[in-house]
Amino acid sequence: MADDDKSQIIVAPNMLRAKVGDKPGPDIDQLVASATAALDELKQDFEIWIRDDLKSLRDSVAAMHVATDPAALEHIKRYAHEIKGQGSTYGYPLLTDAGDLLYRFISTDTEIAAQNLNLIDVHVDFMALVLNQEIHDHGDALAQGVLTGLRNAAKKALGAAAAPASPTRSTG
Amino acid sequence: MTISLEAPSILVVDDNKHMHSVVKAILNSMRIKNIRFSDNAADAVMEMRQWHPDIIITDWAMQPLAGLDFVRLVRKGADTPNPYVPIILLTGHTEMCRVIEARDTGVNEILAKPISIKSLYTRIASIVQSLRPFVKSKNYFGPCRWRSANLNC
Repeated sequence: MADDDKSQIIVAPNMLRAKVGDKPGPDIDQLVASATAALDELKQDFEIWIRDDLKSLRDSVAAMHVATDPAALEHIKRYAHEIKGQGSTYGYPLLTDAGDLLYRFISTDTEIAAQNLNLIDVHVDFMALVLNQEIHDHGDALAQGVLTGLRNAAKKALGAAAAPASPTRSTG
Repeated sequence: MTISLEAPSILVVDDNKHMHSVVKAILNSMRIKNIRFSDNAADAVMEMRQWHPDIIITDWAMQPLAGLDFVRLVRKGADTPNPYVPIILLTGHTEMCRVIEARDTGVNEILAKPISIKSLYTRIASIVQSLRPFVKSKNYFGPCRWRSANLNC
Protein backbone atom coordinates (compact mmCIF):
# COMPACT_ATOMS: atom_id res chain seq x y z
CA MET A 1 0.00 0.00 0.00
CA ALA A 2 3.01 2.29 0.17
CA ASP A 3 2.43 5.27 -2.02
CA ASP A 4 5.44 5.63 -4.33
CA ASP A 5 8.03 8.38 -4.13
CA LYS A 6 6.27 10.47 -6.71
CA SER A 7 3.10 10.68 -4.66
CA GLN A 8 1.47 14.06 -4.65
CA ILE A 9 -0.28 15.26 -1.51
CA ILE A 10 -3.34 17.38 -2.14
CA VAL A 11 -4.62 19.33 0.85
CA ALA A 12 -7.89 20.94 -0.09
CA PRO A 13 -9.48 23.42 2.31
CA ASN A 14 -12.04 21.68 4.51
CA MET A 15 -15.12 23.54 3.31
CA LEU A 16 -17.32 21.03 5.10
CA ARG A 17 -15.77 21.98 8.45
CA ALA A 18 -16.49 25.61 7.73
CA LYS A 19 -20.04 24.78 6.66
CA VAL A 20 -20.75 22.86 9.86
CA GLY A 21 -19.16 25.46 12.13
CA ASP A 22 -18.76 25.05 15.86
CA LYS A 23 -22.37 24.59 16.81
CA PRO A 24 -22.60 21.73 19.32
CA GLY A 25 -24.80 18.77 18.53
CA PRO A 26 -26.98 16.60 20.74
CA ASP A 27 -25.58 14.26 23.33
CA ILE A 28 -24.54 11.00 21.67
CA ASP A 29 -26.77 8.87 23.92
CA GLN A 30 -29.69 11.16 23.17
CA LEU A 31 -28.91 10.85 19.47
CA VAL A 32 -28.81 7.04 19.65
CA ALA A 33 -32.10 7.00 21.59
CA SER A 34 -33.71 9.26 19.01
CA ALA A 35 -32.49 7.11 16.09
CA THR A 36 -33.60 3.93 17.86
CA ALA A 37 -37.06 5.44 18.36
CA ALA A 38 -37.18 6.42 14.67
CA LEU A 39 -36.25 2.87 13.67
CA ASP A 40 -38.91 1.51 16.03
CA GLU A 41 -41.49 3.51 14.10
CA LEU A 42 -40.46 1.56 10.99
CA LYS A 43 -40.91 -1.75 12.78
CA GLN A 44 -44.16 -2.62 10.99
CA ASP A 45 -42.46 -2.00 7.66
CA PHE A 46 -39.44 -4.04 8.70
CA GLU A 47 -41.64 -7.08 9.22
CA ILE A 48 -43.04 -6.73 5.71
CA TRP A 49 -39.63 -6.08 4.11
CA ILE A 50 -37.83 -8.94 5.80
CA ARG A 51 -40.67 -11.33 4.93
CA ASP A 52 -40.50 -10.14 1.32
CA ASP A 53 -36.76 -10.81 1.27
CA LEU A 54 -37.27 -14.24 2.79
CA LYS A 55 -39.96 -15.05 0.23
CA SER A 56 -37.64 -13.99 -2.61
CA LEU A 57 -34.93 -16.14 -1.08
CA ARG A 58 -37.29 -19.11 -0.88
CA ASP A 59 -38.49 -18.58 -4.47
CA SER A 60 -34.89 -18.62 -5.70
CA VAL A 61 -34.17 -21.83 -3.77
CA ALA A 62 -37.32 -23.38 -5.26
CA ALA A 63 -36.10 -22.41 -8.74
CA MET A 64 -32.78 -24.11 -8.00
CA HIS A 65 -34.59 -27.29 -7.00
CA VAL A 66 -36.25 -27.36 -10.44
CA ALA A 67 -33.07 -26.71 -12.40
CA THR A 68 -29.56 -25.63 -11.53
CA ASP A 69 -29.41 -22.00 -12.43
CA PRO A 70 -26.37 -19.81 -11.65
CA ALA A 71 -28.61 -16.73 -11.68
CA ALA A 72 -30.91 -18.23 -9.05
CA LEU A 73 -27.92 -19.17 -6.91
CA GLU A 74 -26.63 -15.63 -7.24
CA HIS A 75 -30.04 -14.36 -6.09
CA ILE A 76 -29.91 -16.66 -3.06
CA LYS A 77 -26.46 -15.34 -2.21
CA ARG A 78 -27.62 -11.76 -2.64
CA TYR A 79 -30.70 -12.15 -0.46
CA ALA A 80 -28.65 -13.97 2.18
CA HIS A 81 -26.29 -10.99 2.15
CA GLU A 82 -29.19 -8.52 2.38
CA ILE A 83 -30.72 -10.40 5.30
CA LYS A 84 -27.34 -10.53 6.99
CA GLY A 85 -27.01 -6.77 6.59
CA GLN A 86 -30.49 -5.89 7.77
CA GLY A 87 -31.56 -8.59 10.23
CA SER A 88 -30.18 -6.88 13.31
CA THR A 89 -31.38 -3.46 12.20
CA TYR A 90 -34.85 -4.98 11.94
CA GLY A 91 -34.52 -6.49 15.40
CA TYR A 92 -33.61 -10.03 14.36
CA PRO A 93 -29.92 -10.65 15.13
CA LEU A 94 -30.38 -14.39 14.51
CA LEU A 95 -31.34 -13.58 10.91
CA THR A 96 -28.06 -11.70 10.55
CA ASP A 97 -26.19 -14.73 11.88
CA ALA A 98 -28.04 -17.21 9.65
CA GLY A 99 -27.77 -14.92 6.61
CA ASP A 100 -24.05 -14.59 7.23
CA LEU A 101 -23.61 -18.37 7.41
CA LEU A 102 -25.62 -18.93 4.21
CA TYR A 103 -23.79 -16.17 2.34
CA ARG A 104 -20.40 -17.54 3.37
CA PHE A 105 -21.38 -21.10 2.46
CA ILE A 106 -22.41 -20.11 -1.08
CA SER A 107 -19.53 -17.67 -1.54
CA THR A 108 -16.95 -20.27 -0.55
CA ASP A 109 -17.91 -22.72 -3.30
CA THR A 110 -20.94 -22.19 -5.52
CA GLU A 111 -20.71 -25.67 -7.05
CA ILE A 112 -20.81 -27.39 -3.69
CA ALA A 113 -23.60 -25.05 -2.59
CA ALA A 114 -25.62 -25.98 -5.68
CA GLN A 115 -25.19 -29.65 -4.80
CA ASN A 116 -26.40 -29.07 -1.23
CA LEU A 117 -29.76 -27.40 -1.71
CA ASN A 118 -31.17 -29.24 1.29
CA LEU A 119 -28.65 -27.45 3.48
CA ILE A 120 -29.71 -24.13 1.95
CA ASP A 121 -33.34 -25.12 2.68
CA VAL A 122 -32.47 -25.64 6.33
CA HIS A 123 -30.93 -22.15 6.54
CA VAL A 124 -34.09 -20.66 5.03
CA ASP A 125 -36.37 -22.73 7.28
CA PHE A 126 -34.45 -21.53 10.31
CA MET A 127 -34.82 -17.91 9.20
CA ALA A 128 -38.57 -18.43 8.73
CA LEU A 129 -38.79 -19.94 12.20
CA VAL A 130 -36.99 -16.97 13.73
CA LEU A 131 -39.45 -14.63 12.03
CA ASN A 132 -42.57 -16.63 12.83
CA GLN A 133 -41.55 -17.11 16.46
CA GLU A 134 -40.53 -13.44 16.62
CA ILE A 135 -37.19 -14.22 18.22
CA HIS A 136 -35.80 -10.72 18.68
CA ASP A 137 -32.58 -11.58 20.44
CA HIS A 138 -29.72 -14.02 19.93
CA GLY A 139 -32.02 -16.85 20.96
CA ASP A 140 -31.65 -19.59 23.49
CA ALA A 141 -29.23 -22.50 23.58
CA LEU A 142 -31.39 -24.34 21.06
CA ALA A 143 -31.19 -21.49 18.52
CA GLN A 144 -27.45 -21.18 19.01
CA GLY A 145 -27.23 -24.94 18.65
CA VAL A 146 -28.98 -24.72 15.28
CA LEU A 147 -26.47 -22.10 14.14
CA THR A 148 -23.61 -24.34 15.25
CA GLY A 149 -25.25 -27.22 13.39
CA LEU A 150 -25.55 -25.15 10.22
CA ARG A 151 -21.93 -24.09 10.50
CA ASN A 152 -20.77 -27.67 10.99
CA ALA A 153 -22.90 -28.95 8.12
CA ALA A 154 -21.44 -26.32 5.81
CA LYS A 155 -17.96 -27.22 7.02
CA LYS A 156 -18.62 -30.88 6.27
CA ALA A 157 -20.00 -30.10 2.83
CA LEU A 158 -17.16 -27.81 1.90
CA GLY A 159 -14.38 -29.81 3.48
CA ALA A 160 -12.62 -28.60 6.58
CA ALA A 161 -10.03 -26.48 4.77
CA ALA A 162 -12.57 -24.27 3.07
CA ALA A 163 -15.12 -23.99 5.86
CA PRO A 164 -16.79 -20.63 6.38
CA ALA A 165 -15.66 -18.69 9.41
CA SER A 166 -17.77 -18.06 12.49
CA PRO A 167 -20.59 -15.60 11.94
CA THR A 168 -20.02 -11.94 12.65
CA ARG A 169 -21.67 -11.07 15.94
CA SER A 170 -24.24 -8.43 15.15
CA THR A 171 -24.27 -5.29 17.23
CA GLY A 172 -27.29 -3.47 15.88
CA MET B 1 -19.31 16.73 22.94
CA THR B 2 -20.87 16.08 19.56
CA ILE B 3 -21.03 18.50 16.66
CA SER B 4 -24.16 19.62 14.92
CA LEU B 5 -24.63 17.88 11.58
CA GLU B 6 -27.52 19.97 10.32
CA ALA B 7 -25.53 21.55 7.51
CA PRO B 8 -24.02 18.75 5.38
CA SER B 9 -25.84 17.40 2.35
CA ILE B 10 -25.66 13.65 1.94
CA LEU B 11 -26.28 11.44 -1.08
CA VAL B 12 -27.21 7.85 -0.19
CA VAL B 13 -26.61 5.28 -2.93
CA ASP B 14 -28.20 1.87 -2.41
CA ASP B 15 -30.23 -0.34 -4.71
CA ASN B 16 -32.25 -1.61 -1.75
CA LYS B 17 -35.05 0.91 -1.23
CA HIS B 18 -35.73 -0.42 2.26
CA MET B 19 -32.26 0.71 3.24
CA HIS B 20 -33.13 4.21 2.04
CA SER B 21 -35.78 4.37 4.76
CA VAL B 22 -33.45 2.95 7.40
CA VAL B 23 -30.59 5.32 6.59
CA LYS B 24 -32.97 8.27 6.30
CA ALA B 25 -34.44 7.54 9.74
CA ILE B 26 -30.98 7.41 11.27
CA LEU B 27 -29.69 10.53 9.49
CA ASN B 28 -32.83 12.48 10.38
CA SER B 29 -32.24 11.58 14.01
CA MET B 30 -28.84 13.22 13.63
CA ARG B 31 -30.79 16.27 12.40
CA ILE B 32 -29.44 15.79 8.90
CA LYS B 33 -32.28 16.82 6.63
CA ASN B 34 -30.47 17.53 3.39
CA ILE B 35 -30.52 14.00 1.99
CA ARG B 36 -31.08 12.57 -1.45
CA PHE B 37 -31.17 8.98 -2.65
CA SER B 38 -30.04 7.11 -5.74
CA ASP B 39 -30.57 3.43 -6.37
CA ASN B 40 -27.75 3.00 -8.86
CA ALA B 41 -24.35 4.42 -9.70
CA ALA B 42 -25.40 6.14 -12.94
CA ASP B 43 -28.17 8.07 -11.21
CA ALA B 44 -25.81 8.91 -8.37
CA VAL B 45 -23.28 10.47 -10.74
CA MET B 46 -26.08 12.50 -12.32
CA GLU B 47 -27.23 13.58 -8.87
CA MET B 48 -23.68 14.62 -8.02
CA ARG B 49 -23.57 16.85 -11.09
CA GLN B 50 -26.80 18.61 -10.27
CA TRP B 51 -26.73 18.72 -6.50
CA HIS B 52 -23.10 18.56 -5.29
CA PRO B 53 -23.48 16.55 -2.08
CA ASP B 54 -20.97 17.12 0.73
CA ILE B 55 -20.77 13.42 1.59
CA ILE B 56 -21.73 10.19 -0.17
CA ILE B 57 -22.86 7.06 1.64
CA THR B 58 -22.87 4.06 -0.68
CA ASP B 59 -23.58 0.37 -0.32
CA TRP B 60 -21.02 -2.12 -1.64
CA ALA B 61 -23.36 -4.86 -2.91
CA MET B 62 -25.27 -3.10 -5.69
CA GLN B 63 -26.32 -3.94 -9.21
CA PRO B 64 -25.60 -3.37 -12.03
CA LEU B 65 -22.52 -1.47 -10.84
CA ALA B 66 -21.10 -2.44 -7.45
CA GLY B 67 -20.31 0.16 -4.81
CA LEU B 68 -16.56 -0.04 -5.33
CA ASP B 69 -16.98 0.44 -9.10
CA PHE B 70 -19.00 3.54 -8.27
CA VAL B 71 -16.17 4.74 -6.00
CA ARG B 72 -13.67 4.19 -8.85
CA LEU B 73 -15.94 6.17 -11.14
CA VAL B 74 -16.07 9.05 -8.67
CA ARG B 75 -12.35 9.04 -7.86
CA LYS B 76 -10.88 8.34 -11.29
CA GLY B 77 -13.62 8.71 -13.89
CA ALA B 78 -12.80 11.07 -16.75
CA ASP B 79 -15.96 13.10 -16.21
CA THR B 80 -16.33 12.72 -12.46
CA PRO B 81 -18.27 15.61 -10.92
CA ASN B 82 -16.11 15.68 -7.76
CA PRO B 83 -13.21 13.26 -7.23
CA TYR B 84 -12.60 14.58 -3.71
CA VAL B 85 -16.06 14.04 -2.25
CA PRO B 86 -15.86 12.07 1.03
CA ILE B 87 -17.32 8.57 0.66
CA ILE B 88 -18.57 6.25 3.39
CA LEU B 89 -18.95 2.64 2.29
CA LEU B 90 -21.65 0.49 3.91
CA THR B 91 -20.87 -3.17 3.70
CA GLY B 92 -21.65 -6.59 5.04
CA HIS B 93 -18.17 -7.66 3.88
CA THR B 94 -16.07 -7.36 6.99
CA GLU B 95 -13.18 -9.63 6.04
CA MET B 96 -9.80 -7.86 6.27
CA CYS B 97 -9.02 -8.39 2.56
CA ARG B 98 -12.31 -6.71 1.62
CA VAL B 99 -11.65 -3.80 3.97
CA ILE B 100 -8.20 -3.31 2.42
CA GLU B 101 -9.70 -3.50 -1.07
CA ALA B 102 -12.22 -0.81 -0.14
CA ARG B 103 -9.56 1.40 1.41
CA ASP B 104 -7.32 1.04 -1.64
CA THR B 105 -10.19 2.01 -3.91
CA GLY B 106 -10.40 5.39 -2.19
CA VAL B 107 -13.21 5.29 0.33
CA ASN B 108 -12.83 7.58 3.33
CA GLU B 109 -14.67 5.46 5.85
CA ILE B 110 -16.03 1.92 5.99
CA LEU B 111 -19.07 1.02 8.05
CA ALA B 112 -20.08 -2.59 8.65
CA LYS B 113 -23.71 -3.64 8.42
CA PRO B 114 -25.89 -3.93 10.41
CA ILE B 115 -25.56 -0.18 10.79
CA SER B 116 -24.58 1.02 14.24
CA ILE B 117 -26.10 4.44 14.85
CA LYS B 118 -23.16 5.59 16.93
CA SER B 119 -20.65 4.34 14.36
CA LEU B 120 -22.38 6.16 11.52
CA TYR B 121 -22.37 9.39 13.52
CA THR B 122 -18.68 8.90 14.34
CA ARG B 123 -17.77 8.33 10.68
CA ILE B 124 -19.60 11.45 9.53
CA ALA B 125 -18.17 13.55 12.36
CA SER B 126 -14.69 12.28 11.57
CA ILE B 127 -15.05 13.38 7.95
CA VAL B 128 -16.29 16.81 9.00
CA GLN B 129 -13.69 17.41 11.68
CA SER B 130 -10.57 15.88 10.22
CA LEU B 131 -10.86 15.38 6.51
CA ARG B 132 -7.70 13.64 5.39
CA PRO B 133 -5.56 15.06 2.56
CA PHE B 134 -5.67 13.30 -0.78
CA VAL B 135 -2.83 11.32 -2.27
CA LYS B 136 -2.25 11.05 -5.99
CA SER B 137 0.26 8.45 -7.06
CA LYS B 138 0.81 6.08 -9.93
CA ASN B 139 -1.40 3.42 -8.38
CA TYR B 140 -3.71 5.31 -6.08
CA PHE B 141 -5.95 8.31 -5.87
CA GLY B 142 -7.93 8.93 -2.73
CA PRO B 143 -7.76 10.03 0.88
CA CYS B 144 -4.43 9.42 2.60
CA ARG B 145 -4.46 5.85 3.86
CA TRP B 146 -2.51 6.76 7.00
CA ARG B 147 -4.83 8.03 9.66
CA SER B 148 -2.39 9.90 11.92
CA ALA B 149 -2.03 13.57 11.07
CA ASN B 150 1.64 13.34 12.02
CA LEU B 151 2.49 10.79 9.40
CA ASN B 152 3.94 11.92 6.15
CA CYS B 153 1.62 10.60 3.45
